Amino acid sequence: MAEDPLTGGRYAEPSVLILTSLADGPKHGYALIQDIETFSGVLLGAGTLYGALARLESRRLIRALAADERRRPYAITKAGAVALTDHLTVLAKIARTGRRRLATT
Amino acid sequence: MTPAHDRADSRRLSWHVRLLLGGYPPWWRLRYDDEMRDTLLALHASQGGGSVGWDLARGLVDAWLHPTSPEVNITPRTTRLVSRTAWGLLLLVLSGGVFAKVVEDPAFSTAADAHPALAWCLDAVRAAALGCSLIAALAAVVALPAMLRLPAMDRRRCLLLLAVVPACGVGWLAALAATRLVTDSTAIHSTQHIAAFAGLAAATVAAGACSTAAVLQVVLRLTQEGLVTRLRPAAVVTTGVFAVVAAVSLAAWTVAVAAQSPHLLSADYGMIGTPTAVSLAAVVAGFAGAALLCGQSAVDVLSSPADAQRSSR
Repeated sequence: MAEDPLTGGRYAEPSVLILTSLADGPKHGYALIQDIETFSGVLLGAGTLYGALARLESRRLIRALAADERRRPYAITKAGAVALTDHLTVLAKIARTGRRRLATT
Repeated sequence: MTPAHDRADSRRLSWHVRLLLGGYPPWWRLRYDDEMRDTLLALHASQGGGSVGWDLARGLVDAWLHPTSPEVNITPRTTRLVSRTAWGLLLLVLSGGVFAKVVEDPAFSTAADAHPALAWCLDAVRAAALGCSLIAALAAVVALPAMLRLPAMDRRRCLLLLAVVPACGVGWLAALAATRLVTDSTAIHSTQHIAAFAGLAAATVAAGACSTAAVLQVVLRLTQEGLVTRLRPAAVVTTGVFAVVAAVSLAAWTVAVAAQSPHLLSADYGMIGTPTAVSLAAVVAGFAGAALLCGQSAVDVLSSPADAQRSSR
């Protein structure tokens, strides 16, 4: 059974990172790994990256663009942007609540 | 796949990385092999390789356990609908088989002759079972061209999965032959007799479950477009209605038997000469479970029909 790639399984965090990276423009695999490492400090392996890309692509949250030799860039879809927005809204709420509670302890 | 001159480039990857890449599923390699090699080469050049083996091994196992193909997609809601309906149908088939075996005893046809309500209820159960069979046959007819339109990798996987069904049939026939062999000269209610039929019951459930799981995997891989999508909601609703009709008719039949021929319930007309009440209780539970599963799917479709047809695009 297909699980939500943003909330279920071991590809949940990589999926969010990938969508966040693609939010400012299409990128191919290596560019994704570099960008994600830059803004999050997380270094994704190729196995994890393409596992997450396959799930996101099967759920139509990203789409593959025309390949340039062996490099194929990916772009976020409208559905992907909506899913990322919803997920980040929930994460932001959790972050605010966590900070508020920590401030009172 | 990669041309010969590019393969020379890939030899810069270590042998265990190339081995792991070769272990990915064929459909995966067709789709992602070039990109992954390019990414691994870039990572190797910038970070000196590192511990990619473990990451690739985990990805490999995951790719086999959870195949995804961008050409074939299905929403979680549709997955739930189809899965619930399929398992509900299995429950109906298994319970219906037990019920058919129980009522084939002449005592029940004699009772039906004397009390028309019993005959009507039986006819309703049979009609509902026939209806479900026709829906399943129509689904197979509609699904076949959709399956033939799948990418080659997925089509091969579907054919392998469908081969599970006749294999389960052969296995069950072998279990039936073994049961007949064992029970040939044994007394009814003897240990060998009961053990042999318990084994046959287990083989029936196993064959049914394996076949249903395999067919479900095929159905869930079919494309969202075409007749499969347009007919799916109607098929789910109709199956749900038939399952509920069968369950209600069976319940009415049981009540009628209890009221008009109570001696049948207290007699030993159940499976392998066990009390009728025990077998009927199992049948009623099975039919109720089937009605619950198939009925829930039907309600799901009726409550939001547009979602039932929409793809995840």
